[in-house]
Amino acid sequence: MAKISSGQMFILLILARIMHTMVFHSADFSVGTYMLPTLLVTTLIEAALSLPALILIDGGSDIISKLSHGSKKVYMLLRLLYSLYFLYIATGTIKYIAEFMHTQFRRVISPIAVIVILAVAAAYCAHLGIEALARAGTVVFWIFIALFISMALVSEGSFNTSNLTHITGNDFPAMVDYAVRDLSSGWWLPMLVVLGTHLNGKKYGAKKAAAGYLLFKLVMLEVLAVLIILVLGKFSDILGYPLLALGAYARTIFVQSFDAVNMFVWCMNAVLVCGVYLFISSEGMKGKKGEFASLAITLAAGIIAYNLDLDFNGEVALIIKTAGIILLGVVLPLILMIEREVKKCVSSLQ
Amino acid sequence: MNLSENLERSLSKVKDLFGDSSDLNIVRFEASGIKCAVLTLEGMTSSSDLSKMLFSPLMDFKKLFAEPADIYNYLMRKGLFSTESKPVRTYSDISERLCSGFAVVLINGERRGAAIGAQGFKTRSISEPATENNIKGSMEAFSDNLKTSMSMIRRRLKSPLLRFETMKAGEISSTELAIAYISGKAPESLVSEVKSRLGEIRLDIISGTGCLEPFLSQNPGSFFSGCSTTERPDTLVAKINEGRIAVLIDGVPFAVVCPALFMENFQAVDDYEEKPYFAFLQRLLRYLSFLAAGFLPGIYLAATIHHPEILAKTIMTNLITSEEDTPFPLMLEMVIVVVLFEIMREAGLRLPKAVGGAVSIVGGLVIGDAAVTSGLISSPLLIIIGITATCSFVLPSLNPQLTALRFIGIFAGGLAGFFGMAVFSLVILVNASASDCLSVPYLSPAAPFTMKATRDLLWRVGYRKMQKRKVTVESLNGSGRES
Repeated sequence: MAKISSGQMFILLILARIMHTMVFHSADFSVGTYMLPTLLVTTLIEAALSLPALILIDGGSDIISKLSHGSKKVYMLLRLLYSLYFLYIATGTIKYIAEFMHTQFRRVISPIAVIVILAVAAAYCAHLGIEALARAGTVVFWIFIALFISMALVSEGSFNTSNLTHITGNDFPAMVDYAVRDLSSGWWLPMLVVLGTHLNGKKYGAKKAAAGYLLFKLVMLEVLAVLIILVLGKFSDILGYPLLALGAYARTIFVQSFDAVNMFVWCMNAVLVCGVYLFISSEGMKGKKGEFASLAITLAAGIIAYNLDLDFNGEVALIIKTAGIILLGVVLPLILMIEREVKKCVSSLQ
Repeated sequence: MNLSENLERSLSKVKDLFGDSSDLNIVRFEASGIKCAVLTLEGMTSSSDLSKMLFSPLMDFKKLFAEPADIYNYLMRKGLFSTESKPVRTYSDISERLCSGFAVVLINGERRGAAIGAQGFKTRSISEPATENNIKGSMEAFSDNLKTSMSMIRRRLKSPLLRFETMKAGEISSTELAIAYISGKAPESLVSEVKSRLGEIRLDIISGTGCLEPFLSQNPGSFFSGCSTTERPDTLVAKINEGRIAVLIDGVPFAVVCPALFMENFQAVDDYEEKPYFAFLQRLLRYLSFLAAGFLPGIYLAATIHHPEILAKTIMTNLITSEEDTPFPLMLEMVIVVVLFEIMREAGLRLPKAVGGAVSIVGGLVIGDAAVTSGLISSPLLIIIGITATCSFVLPSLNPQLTALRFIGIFAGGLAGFFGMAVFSLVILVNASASDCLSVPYLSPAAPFTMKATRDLLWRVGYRKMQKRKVTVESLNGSGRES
């Protein structure tokens, strides 16, 4: 079976998070100082929620294999749930990328073509396996880092410290709303459960990946939030993609605007991340039929979602996403962990 | 089928086997009153060697009441006729030995024959490398003759640890192959895997390295090749010193080396002759050349057609001015020029050297001057193609891939802008990441990352450090040990 390292898993998780941050939260909420402590709290909650999965994976339990080899209908249903959940996430990502392309780069390519190209390319990448995706992910990660650094170096944006306001009691509803949104974006937990199957046997592999992810996510989001607040201020509330606007301040003698350069890297990441989602979903539907089914479903769902303008950030979407995280990333590993401990106790008593 | 005791019957069978081919020479003679025959193939043996090594001693062989077995024993055990003497028992043995340049002696009344090595075919002398030029270092390239090529490696690796294992491939051609490796450096499993993969080849003839590569790398969907070729014995020695395995083919002055890594395409012999900082600069230029040769035309189209906002105002104005007068859409213009460039490159490659220069003149005049003056092609586009073409010459080992990348990039960038380029680049990246040869990932040591092996990735460490940090391909094996 293809194996990846904890470092590669951390990169795949963080790339998925970057993808989400880039396109999902476009102008859905007001940016403010209240985000900074909220992020810390949600990260701590996520760390606590990840414990059952981490204990289980690093304890040598292979959740997905258990589900795959189990003949019980419940196991099959759970496996299918993982597939459907990640197909849903992939569809949302593709739909938002199509929307992003349509709003920001209207002249380039039609949204339907974006959906088709993205889905087919992601399915091909998923077909090549998780090792290939993980290795390519490392390259994409460093491209992202290079992009951020180069944009920061040539940025003409200036900081306005007056944008940093005090947090008051009035910010509480916004804090709760942001916390819910952030927690509903925590599908790295079910990802960790599935990718844990492919983790090489090094000690504390899953724990290292999870700790790295949570730390990096916290620092990255805090830094981005501070930059957006300091550079854009309230102006960011009316912008579709604040991070893209942040990049607009960067320019050189040759490159007037970094929008297209940003889009280039975002799209690379979109294909890679969707490839990982499709890989995970095809794990649940074993064989080549599973790969084809994942592609067909994502393609059809993506086109339908775009045409019907389905909201992947609305209340229903938040419920679906959070329920998936709780069930597949927390409750199921918890049940399996309890089952394992009970078995251990029984065998020690015997 | 075994040989007959009757000499005439055996000779008749051999003639039938070769279909009375005109290059089959049969010389009949008697030694101590026993009828014998020497069989050779025209041009495959040296007449003077044969006369000195075989005919003179055989004619001098005198023994009272000699038996056929005495002559056979004299040839095989007592006499020193050649460094190579092999027994032949079947007709297929005879054909195999004759085709390899042996002289076969058949004796009336004896079911065995003696094959005496007397190879004397003319081969090209050792020449300078044609495709892997360098400034310093060795100026020798492999020869068409397998034995000569093997000796060139042995001369550079005077160690009993250097091993050659020969085998035949090609159903009809029975081409001799030599697997070269250093015992203790190349893992045994890798050597046996290579042998088993070569044994699976069922091609009629082995005409070149391209016949072996697909069987060795076994990566059908891969864009890049998991094997590399070299015509330099010094390069080959350096590669097998890292635990790689080389396969030499008789009649081909190139060796196939596996596993190959993507990063190796950016290394040159001269990197190891210069100071590390200079080697670093050279390699940096090669990486930039790779990006420019493969992606620059696509990026240019994407930027000018779909994302003009990316370009600075002065550059944009210049581009608009120069494109205003051209009759074709920019993408078509690019396709025309790239196709013309490829045609001219191909013509220059195939034509005799004396005429090849004429193609460059015609190309320079037609594309460089006339096309721009007549307003068919804009000058910025020509500059882009000029840069692309020059950069592609920096990496000859990646030329097929770069040509394909360039064309796909033109369509991706021209039709879908940076979105197309991003999808195309990522797909190629994942494809390359999925490639491996003999379980060694193609993108290692970068992805998966192996810290120890970065000593010779972009920055080459000095020889003092290099001798402390020895790396073999085995340590780059990514499966399950990704870092």
